[in-house]
Amino acid sequence: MLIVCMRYAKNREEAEEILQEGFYRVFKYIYQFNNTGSFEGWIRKIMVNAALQKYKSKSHLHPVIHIDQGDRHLSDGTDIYSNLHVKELIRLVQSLPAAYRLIFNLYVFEGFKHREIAKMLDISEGTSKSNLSDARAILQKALVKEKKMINT
Amino acid sequence: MSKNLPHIDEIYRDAIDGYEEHPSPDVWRRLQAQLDEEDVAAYKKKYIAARRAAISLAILLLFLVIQETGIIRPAVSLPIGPIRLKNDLANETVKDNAEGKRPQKIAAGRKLLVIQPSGYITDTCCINGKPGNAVPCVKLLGPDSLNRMMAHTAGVADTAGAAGAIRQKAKERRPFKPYWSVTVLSSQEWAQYRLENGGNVSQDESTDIAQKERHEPSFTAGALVLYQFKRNWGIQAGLLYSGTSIAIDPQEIYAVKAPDGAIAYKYNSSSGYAFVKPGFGLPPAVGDSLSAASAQHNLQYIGIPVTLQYKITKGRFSFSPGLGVSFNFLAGARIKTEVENAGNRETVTIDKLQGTKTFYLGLMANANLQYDFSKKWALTIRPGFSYALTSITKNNVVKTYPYSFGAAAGLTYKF
Repeated sequence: MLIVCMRYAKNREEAEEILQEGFYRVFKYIYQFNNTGSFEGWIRKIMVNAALQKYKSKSHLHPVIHIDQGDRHLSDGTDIYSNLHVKELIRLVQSLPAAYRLIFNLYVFEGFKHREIAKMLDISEGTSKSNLSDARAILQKALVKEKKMINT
Repeated sequence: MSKNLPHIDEIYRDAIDGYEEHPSPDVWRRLQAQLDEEDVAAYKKKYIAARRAAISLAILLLFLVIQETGIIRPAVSLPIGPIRLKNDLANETVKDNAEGKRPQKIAAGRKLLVIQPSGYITDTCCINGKPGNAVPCVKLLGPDSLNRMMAHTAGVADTAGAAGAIRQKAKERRPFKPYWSVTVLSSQEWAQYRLENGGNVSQDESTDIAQKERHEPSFTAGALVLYQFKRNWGIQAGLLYSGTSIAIDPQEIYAVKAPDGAIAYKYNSSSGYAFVKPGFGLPPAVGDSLSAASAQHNLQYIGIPVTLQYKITKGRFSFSPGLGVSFNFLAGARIKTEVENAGNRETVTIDKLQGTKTFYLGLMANANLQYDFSKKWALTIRPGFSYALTSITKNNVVKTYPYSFGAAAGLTYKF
């Protein structure tokens, strides 16, 4: 579960805070688990909610940054994937602004639609789409940069 | 331009899928501490009312003990003189003291007996007519000296019962006058109920309700008026507002056909039932279920108790056991819960329960313990018990007869 929290957090310390809060809720509301689904899935949902609450409550959801549109293409993503360690990929996600990070995680890993994300984060559907696109662009650019560094 | 963008998603999904990181041991230590704190907070919250009541009671008892033992009570002075030690004068002196009056003027040179809180009597000399200026003598008399002195001055042969006889005489002189008193009180109560099967339901359903509901400490507050029409008999009535809290465990609720023909989820409780229509999802079909989280159920009643009290007085204390009935009117019934289905959640507040009677009759028994700290004012402690003679529900899955034990504390004004 720590890896779930790390994707949503800014760093490992914050991820551990989310993990602690998440497990606290798990123990507190364990009686609400009705054994109808996966227990791991239920815990994961709680962790995601804990993360959302942490960053939503701190009003971090207002970044609008200008993305440099150049050099956004990946010539061979699998190379980068094989050369980069997971920790490095996580670090890149963590370096995203909070709003981008949340939307990227909710869309890519949790499988939510833009309509659902917009409702969860109290933003418009268009903002969700735009932020996801920006997040992808930032990550892609960062991955290219990492690739260049590895190659040199 | 963006044809490679979705590829990022796959890179991340593939890379992170199955990857594990382990948190530092500090996380579990902090979590343990957080859970312990929660337990402690819950424990403190659970017993806070009982502790407050216990502390108030302890302070009150301490106050009474101090008053009765005379640790801080001012000494009572009995002026006597070697020349005027005659029966008539002695009786007059004792009467004054029995009514709590302190002699104001004493002739110079007369002796003054001072009864100390410890029961000892000091023999002092008065030099200029004021007791405050008396010069204490070294002679110290034992507690028995008081009785001997009383017997001597009152001319009563029985030395042991002399003081009592004098007090009785003083009491007999005061005829009883009927009076009124008002008591403002509040009490902490431990409420419960007796459930009976509602008739057209299975036994399991009523047992199920009993298992799901837990009473929390309740309270009662109000004012009582007493008319003491005889020395020992009085009738008491008043207005009491009581609130009962019940915690209800999570449960599945099922859709049924409501009396108005609509299909809605039925929420059952010991005090009545309600139909819940959440705003999310499709309209339910009969038999559909919904998860209801822990609920808080609050019941408020306004009661008019009428009791007959029998009063026994001992010094400043009086004890009045009482028995009577109470007429209870429903002031409010609320259930607050959260329903959840397929990821949708909604908080539901039920303000009107069906199957709840607006009135029930109760039996009341109490034991008023009063301490008169002045002629007009008294402290009152009132342990009591009440029991519903009629059910508080009608056409519900259960018939509910609430009962409660309480300990009230209050202030009484006599007029």
